[in-house]
Amino acid sequence: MKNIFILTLLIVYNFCLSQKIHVKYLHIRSEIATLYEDLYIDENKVLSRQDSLIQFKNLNSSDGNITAFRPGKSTRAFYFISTINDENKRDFFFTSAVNGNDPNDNYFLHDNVIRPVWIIDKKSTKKIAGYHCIKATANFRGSDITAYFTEDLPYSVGPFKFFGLPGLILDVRLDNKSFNIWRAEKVELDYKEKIDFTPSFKQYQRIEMKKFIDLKDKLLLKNNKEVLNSLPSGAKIQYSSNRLGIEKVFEWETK
Amino acid sequence: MKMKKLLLLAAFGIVGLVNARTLELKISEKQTEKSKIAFQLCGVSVTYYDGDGNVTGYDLITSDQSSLENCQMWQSLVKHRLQKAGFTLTAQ
Repeated sequence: MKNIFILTLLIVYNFCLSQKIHVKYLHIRSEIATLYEDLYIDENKVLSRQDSLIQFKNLNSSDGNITAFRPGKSTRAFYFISTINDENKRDFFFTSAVNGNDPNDNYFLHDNVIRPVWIIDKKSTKKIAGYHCIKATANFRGSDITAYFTEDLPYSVGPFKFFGLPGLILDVRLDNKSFNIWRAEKVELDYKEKIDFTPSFKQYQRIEMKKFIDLKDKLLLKNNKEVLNSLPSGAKIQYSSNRLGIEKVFEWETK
Repeated sequence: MKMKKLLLLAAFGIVGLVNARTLELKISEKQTEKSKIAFQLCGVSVTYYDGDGNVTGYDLITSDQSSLENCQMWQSLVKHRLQKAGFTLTAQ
């Protein structure tokens, strides 16, 4: 009787782990841009795709701020590819751009991300997409984030480059901001869509992550200089000195 | 005189709401008595986005302007220059 019980548990456990899972997240990239991110899991293979279809919002001026937007000719999808492991670091292969206004500026990059130190608060729970989720907080590359994960789907995976919890992350967001939010709208088990977990991105440039971040930092300075040059004489500018995305500090900078 | 002062203050308030942010308004008390504005730090706060919807910068652009009218003109000029530099502005 005991053996049958253990066998049943093993079958159920294996069934859970062999499931193919698709999670559709609503991703608020910035105060003006909202899109969907689709996360696919097949055994230990993971692919997440940020859609090229972006909903742009027109901000009002009531708070006295100006939104200066450089609309591109086309928007693009971004991919994040990884493999589930139990290690403290995880390799991510992802696509990105240095210059978001240049549709031909595409990179395929490798990033080795350290598992965030998560603090799990089992008392704080909420239901997301029909799943019972538990709150966890961490600092991800210099940004304080809050996530909700479900133990019902025991995959240490999330959207973007988030991972390291004992269950699938269904909601993760930057603290105290109204953007950099991912919230699952739908969880599909055993999806039928055929997913290529090893897309090649042959036409994309490949450089080291550190070099890529240097290029982004330099572009930020160049943009600031260009804006200053375009302004009437006598204008003074206080620039944003920090990196602008959710990734503010990288592992090689804190060693 | 009091009425004129009130009207002047109200004008500043309205402009502050509908136009770009006026950062700091320093009215010297002595000069207020003479109904004159001595100094005004005029500012525009800008958030930049790229074609993918990512934030690419936050700037606080300021300039010393001698009057509210000059401040408004300067703010309009800043917006015009940003547009000329290829930006689409949502607050105008």
